[in-house]
Amino acid sequence: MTQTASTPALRAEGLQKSFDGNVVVDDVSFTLQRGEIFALLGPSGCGKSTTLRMLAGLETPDEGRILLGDDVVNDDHTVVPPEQRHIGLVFQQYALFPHLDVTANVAFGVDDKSVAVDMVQRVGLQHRADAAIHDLSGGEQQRVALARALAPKPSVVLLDEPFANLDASLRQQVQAEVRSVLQQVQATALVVTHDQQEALAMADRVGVMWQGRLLQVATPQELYHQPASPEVAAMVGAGSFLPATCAAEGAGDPTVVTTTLGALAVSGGVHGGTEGRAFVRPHQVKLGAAGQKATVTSCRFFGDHHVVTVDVDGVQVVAHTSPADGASEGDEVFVDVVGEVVFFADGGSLP
Amino acid sequence: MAKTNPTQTWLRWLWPPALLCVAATLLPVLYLGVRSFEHGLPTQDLFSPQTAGLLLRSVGLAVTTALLAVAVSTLCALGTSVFAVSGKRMLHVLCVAPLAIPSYVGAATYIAALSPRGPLAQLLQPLGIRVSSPSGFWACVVVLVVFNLPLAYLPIRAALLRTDRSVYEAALLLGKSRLQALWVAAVLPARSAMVSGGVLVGLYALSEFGSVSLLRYDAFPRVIYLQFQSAFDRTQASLNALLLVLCLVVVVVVSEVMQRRLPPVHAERTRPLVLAPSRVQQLAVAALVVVVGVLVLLPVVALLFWLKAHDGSNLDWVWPAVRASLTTGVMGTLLATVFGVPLAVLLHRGQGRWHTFLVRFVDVGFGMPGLIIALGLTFFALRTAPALYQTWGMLALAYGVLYLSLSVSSIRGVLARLPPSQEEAARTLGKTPATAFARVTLPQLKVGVVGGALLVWISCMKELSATLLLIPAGEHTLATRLWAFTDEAMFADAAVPALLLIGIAALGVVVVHKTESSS
Repeated sequence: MTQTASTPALRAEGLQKSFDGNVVVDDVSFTLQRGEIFALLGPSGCGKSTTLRMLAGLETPDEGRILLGDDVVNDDHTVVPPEQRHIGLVFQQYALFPHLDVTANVAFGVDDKSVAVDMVQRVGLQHRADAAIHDLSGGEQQRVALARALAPKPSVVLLDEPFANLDASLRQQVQAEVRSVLQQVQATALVVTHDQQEALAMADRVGVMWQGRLLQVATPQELYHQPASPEVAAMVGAGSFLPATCAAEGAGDPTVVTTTLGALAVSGGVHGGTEGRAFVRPHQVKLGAAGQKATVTSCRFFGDHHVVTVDVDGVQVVAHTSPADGASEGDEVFVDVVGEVVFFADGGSLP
Repeated sequence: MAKTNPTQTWLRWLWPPALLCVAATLLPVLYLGVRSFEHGLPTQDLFSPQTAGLLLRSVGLAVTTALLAVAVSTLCALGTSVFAVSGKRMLHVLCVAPLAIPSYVGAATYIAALSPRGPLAQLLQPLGIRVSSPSGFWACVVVLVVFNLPLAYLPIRAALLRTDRSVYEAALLLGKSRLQALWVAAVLPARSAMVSGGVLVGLYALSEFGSVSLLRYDAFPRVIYLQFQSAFDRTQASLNALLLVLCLVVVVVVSEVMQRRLPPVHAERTRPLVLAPSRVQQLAVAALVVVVGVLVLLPVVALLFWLKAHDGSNLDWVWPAVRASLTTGVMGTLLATVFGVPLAVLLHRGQGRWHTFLVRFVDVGFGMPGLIIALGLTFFALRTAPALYQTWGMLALAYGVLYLSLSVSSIRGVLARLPPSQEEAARTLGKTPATAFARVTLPQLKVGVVGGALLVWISCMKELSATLLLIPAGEHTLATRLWAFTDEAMFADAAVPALLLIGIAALGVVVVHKTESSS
């Protein structure tokens, strides 16, 4: 995470948007630092694309402010149209101009054609500079879209599900390429995605959106280890929720909760109540000779690991085991938890 | 607080041409109203037995034609879609071929083929069988069904091709017979297409002037034309024209009500249902090939026969008629295109109450028969600017109004396929809404504009009823030549314009096919 003393590249403050009475974006605020790659992660329909369209000026927020550097582009009195914002946007379907060739597409937003030629080279398409758009592969079209958005040197570039239209086999390679191009030109970027792997791999910081609200903004590591709510925990990586209690304040160890799997250490301590749920990652759950007695309810093989679900006093717990350690339904096993778990006091809701 | 989205203010400039289009479409109908009611309510004429009989004959023709066309189309379409029968390709071509034969050309060739001096008469005379020129109700039904067959056949076949194979298989597994399963899986889901195809044929049958007049059946268009030409009964003519418009509107409204009760045709294409035909089904398809083949190909055979009988003289009229058709057609095309582009863009892009009104108006107001437009323009011209009546300019204006819809729908088709994100992308690259439209969307409209213009031009060349009313006295187009020759039983002479018109119509089929496959 790059933290500089200068003004942030972009600030969104209290964005609000409804369509036909349905609140789609609800009080969303965040900041993009210069040169940072930021991801908005959430399921489809959570409002992340609408947020991106408001930043680009393609939708007008009902409430809230948007600042680019020191300039207000949206508030109660100001609506700066998209063409004056100097924001780049890579569309999910790329939205390339089919009547123009590769270089003409990239040159569309710049007066100096040499800039476009340079940008085509930067994304590695110099050998296809005169090609028609419909002759390009999906990955190549993706690079044209990126080059076109970056050519005018926008203050911020927004990417809307940029890898959703690529084959799974291509996706990781293109992600790495895009990240490296963005870093080369020191772009400030916001990536909207529903794919947690993509968000974690691409971004310096991730904002998790759910039902129009921004639940947590943090680095990928923080999100994984310190999810702020059960929704974030469930969205970023897999895991199991166990009913948990801890001693009342001042009455016992504040870093330990009691669950069906025994007393578990809590990372970050217990806040907000004594009744709640503990969140355990599958790799923390060990099946072996020690711990609580449990029954295997299912075991599925994924090649490099097994996903084993066990029943501990009516609570389902998921574990990942090595390829060699399979189990059969009905097996009696012992379950142990290693490392610290996360505790969520009651009051939140499960997705 | 509520704020509107950044609106596309440049669209405002498209309203003046669009309103001109609305005015030009409304004007003829309004003038028919003025002409009909200027001497008070013509209750006596309106509720006379003559009017009732006319209404009955017209509606009877339209309903019979529509029902028969849907029945024949459904049978043919079943043969060419779900059954793996031999001859299915040939049947399909035969069912689509009438697209290249305007109905009045078809009627003229039937008359020529069955005339006492025609090929059939010569063939059958030794056998002691006499043929007579076709006329009347059933002749009209046959001609209208045959030459409008594609209007019903194509949508029904498209619906049948979307038959969900798994529904058919599920019906079989639930114990239904093959015919019952076919009914449930293929025929019932195609009802919506049957209604729209039948309505289209019905609308054509109601407003068809050329063939119905040649076959001397007194439905609305022929009666209106004769009343107008007699010059004594023009109020009656305009009143009957209004009644015809009313009938058309009723049909459109009824069809919308019916459509709303039916499930829409499957959107996505599933795995196709392919059935091995039984012997009876194979025989039925063979019979269809023979019947449809004879009915569709008869005109062509007859035309060749009469062309052989042509002595090569009396061809001086050809070039002036072709030139007249060409130039007026081009003028009409220019009008329809110049106004079609802004209207199409506004229909596709506009917002708000007035825009909704415009869309509704276009849905209902377009597709007025040529006779109505021509009659309204005639009354308007005779009253306000008699000098315009029967001038080339007036005819071109009528063409423009008549076929504006073709240009608009072709351009709208292209617009509808362009993703809005393209212009949004241009906006984020620093272009204003107007520039984004001009540089991103406009260049891509070329296909629609050119394709639409070609269709308009071809339709102008084929137009008959408005041309008969508005063409300068003594002048002729190909269509009016065919009309006059057929009327005077000069079939050898009629064969020349008939073949030329079929060639032009065939060009139109090619254009539609090209535009559809290029997008």
